[in-house]
Amino acid sequence: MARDEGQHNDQHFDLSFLESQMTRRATRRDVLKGAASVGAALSLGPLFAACGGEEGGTAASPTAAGTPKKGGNLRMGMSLGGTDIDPQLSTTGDVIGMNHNVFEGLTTFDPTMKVVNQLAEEISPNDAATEYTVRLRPDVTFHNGKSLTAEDVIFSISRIIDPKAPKTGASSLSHLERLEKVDDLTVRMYLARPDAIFPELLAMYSNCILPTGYTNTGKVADLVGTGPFKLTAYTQLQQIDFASNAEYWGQVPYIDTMSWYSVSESNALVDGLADGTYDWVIGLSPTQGKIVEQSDGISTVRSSSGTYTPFMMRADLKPFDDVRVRQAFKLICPRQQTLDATLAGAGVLGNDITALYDPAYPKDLEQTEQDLEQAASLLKQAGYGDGLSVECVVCPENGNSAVDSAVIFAEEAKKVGVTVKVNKVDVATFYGESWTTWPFSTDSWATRGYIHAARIQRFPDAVWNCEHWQNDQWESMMREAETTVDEAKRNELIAEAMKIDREEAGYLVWSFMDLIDGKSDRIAGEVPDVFYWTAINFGFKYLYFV
Amino acid sequence: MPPLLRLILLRVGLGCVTLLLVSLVVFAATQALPGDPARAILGKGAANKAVYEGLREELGLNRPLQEQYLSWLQGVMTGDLGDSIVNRGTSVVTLLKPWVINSLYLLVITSLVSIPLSILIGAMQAYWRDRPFDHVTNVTNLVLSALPEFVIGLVLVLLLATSVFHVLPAVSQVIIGTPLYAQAEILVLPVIALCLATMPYTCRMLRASTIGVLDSEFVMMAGLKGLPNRLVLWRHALPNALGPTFQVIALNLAWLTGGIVVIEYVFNYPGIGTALVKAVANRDMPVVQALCMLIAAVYVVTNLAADIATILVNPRLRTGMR
Repeated sequence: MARDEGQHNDQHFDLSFLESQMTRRATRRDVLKGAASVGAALSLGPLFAACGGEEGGTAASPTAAGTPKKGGNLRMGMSLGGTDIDPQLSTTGDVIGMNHNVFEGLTTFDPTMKVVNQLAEEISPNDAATEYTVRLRPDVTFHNGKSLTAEDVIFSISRIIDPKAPKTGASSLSHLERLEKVDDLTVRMYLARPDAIFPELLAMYSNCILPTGYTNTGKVADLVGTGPFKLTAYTQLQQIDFASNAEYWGQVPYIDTMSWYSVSESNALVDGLADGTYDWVIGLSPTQGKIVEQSDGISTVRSSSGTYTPFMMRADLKPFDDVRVRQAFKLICPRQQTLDATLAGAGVLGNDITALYDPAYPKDLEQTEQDLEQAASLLKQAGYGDGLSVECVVCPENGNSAVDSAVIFAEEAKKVGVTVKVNKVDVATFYGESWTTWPFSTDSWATRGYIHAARIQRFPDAVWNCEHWQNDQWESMMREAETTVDEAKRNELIAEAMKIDREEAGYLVWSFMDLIDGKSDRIAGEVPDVFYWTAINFGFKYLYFV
Repeated sequence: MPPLLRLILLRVGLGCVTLLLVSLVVFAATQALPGDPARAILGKGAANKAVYEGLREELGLNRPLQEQYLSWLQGVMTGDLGDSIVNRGTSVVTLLKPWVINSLYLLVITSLVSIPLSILIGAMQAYWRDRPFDHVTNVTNLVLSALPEFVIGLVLVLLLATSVFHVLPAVSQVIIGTPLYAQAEILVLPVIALCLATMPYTCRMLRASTIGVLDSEFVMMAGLKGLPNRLVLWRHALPNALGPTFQVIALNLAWLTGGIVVIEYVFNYPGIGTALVKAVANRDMPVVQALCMLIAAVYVVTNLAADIATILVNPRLRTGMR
């Protein structure tokens, strides 16, 4: 199961042997209910000029033949976090889901990872990309009736970067120096250094706009946002209830209410969907997807995405400090075989570059295949001709693709004299004090743009840098790209940097995984989304009953 | 003071000491675990040192350990179980109330079904010992007690909910807003699973002690006097055989309170087993403490009740008591 800043309290109970023997009803249907899969590269460009995209991008195209009916109560099963809900401190699935339904930000990502305006009507930078003027959408109200003004924006963003109590988005906004109110609907933001992708940072789901004076009381009445749904009830660890916001500035949702129920055991998701307890379940494994497809009355919704579970090698420690060892390892991995074995083929093959949906991602890459001969030769050149022994640390919480890929890798590595010991540790240990220091490990990452991902994962000061790779040429290209306002030039720089990355960096990205949700056939209108976690990225505002 | 009352008071006193010791051990254990509530709240975000340290300060985790424990203990003495650390602003009582009620439903219904049924079956086994009924029941009890609870649960789901028959819901999703008795069908499978998990022990215990009693001289005497077999069994033999069985029943009840995590997990039922697992995962000390004390209290009370019941049922013990 893909996992990133969020914590999936998915206690692992692997009963796939029972799953495979379970037949749901008397009839078996081998039909793959048509699930729209979003195609590949779509541009990811931060929005500068006046072309503010309509929030939500393309309209919902119903996948089932049916006319949208207004009304209904949607019941969804998912693993609920169980810690308190501060919408700017979202790390668990339920809070992230609320970020997408109850709250909104100045910008957001559309289903193809393109940055579009949300509460901002227009964002214009100065020539040096050090000042951004944000003009707000007029006539937006919070769920408690209060109007959205510049003060709310200043309050919310200041709250995120407050040095005494920084929120999730604080480190990515560390270069934001100050905010200035220009008028009731306009805010100017001053940056300490030029940044061409600033609007993309504002689009992060945890950087949402709250009413001035919000404090984390945990009470439903205080949790007001501007989004298409209002929060009506919240019982920790059990149930979250929403009602549609009739005064929403955008398209009001079709459904009247929805409830999210806590499911701790992932097989209960499929059971509950099959017997009608839930109308929608998120985050299914490929095996569970197959079971859903074989059952009557329910189907899967699939979306390709840029989510990946790579191997990460610390380029500053032996043996990975020798680039030939890193290259050898990239050649040992049997990519298609790993994809088929761990994800039942539900994904696209990777070539070690991380940002699949970045517009600079090369279109016609030659696929890296397994080449044990070349790997052995590289290892010999690096002085490891007599063999090499490493430990790979993995966390089962990150899903099959993070664990089994390491097991498969270990099998193949034996053939070139490399002994890989796969060490499974629990969440508290993996993400504890030693995280970001494991010499060799696997992990799960969400879809991001290349520059943003570099800030989080690869730059020397990146807070989640597990790789510790130093390359002055790559870094200087990236730093220049960060300040290049012209999109075409910027993409050129990024493309060059990606080439170096592929050759020399410490990430082995063997594939990107599809996201799979399950739904009742009474529901339609879903819009597949490439971001992370769920095939529709919590886009319940598009759904309707047929 | 009547001896029985003195016994009760003594045991209640010892019970309070037990609870205090439990709370100390639980506190030490949660502190010894790697990680802390701030890490649980932030997940991967805890790698950001500034956010992590800020949250630790906000949650009061940097206070010395004895201060944290004593301030919690002080609250408990005055009846305040405190607030949850990871769900700020929510008191432990508010948080746990629905979970405890859910578990209570399961506990009460399971007990009401399993205890009389297992006594009946155990007595019947002893009465017809070494006959076909006894053999079949013995084997069944052995198999059931050997199977892990989650296997029993899953087989029930397969049998009655998803594959063979579709008469019951596969998932015991409690819908908040509707009282539990109105959603009674979600309780059936977990209760059956729990009964099947606990009945074998009580049956075997009762069977063994009833057989022992049926072989004793006074039973032979009663039979020789011409009393009908059924009267001998129910009126004379059983009350004496029940003594040791109460202990088993008490252990079962205590186990049902705290140990049904697996069943709750299989059926996705929100009871205190699940609550405890989640609280430990979140390192939420006040919630963990409250739950552990609750379970310890149930152990103390059920054991006390079992001892009293044993005494009441056996007049010899009543007078021989000090």
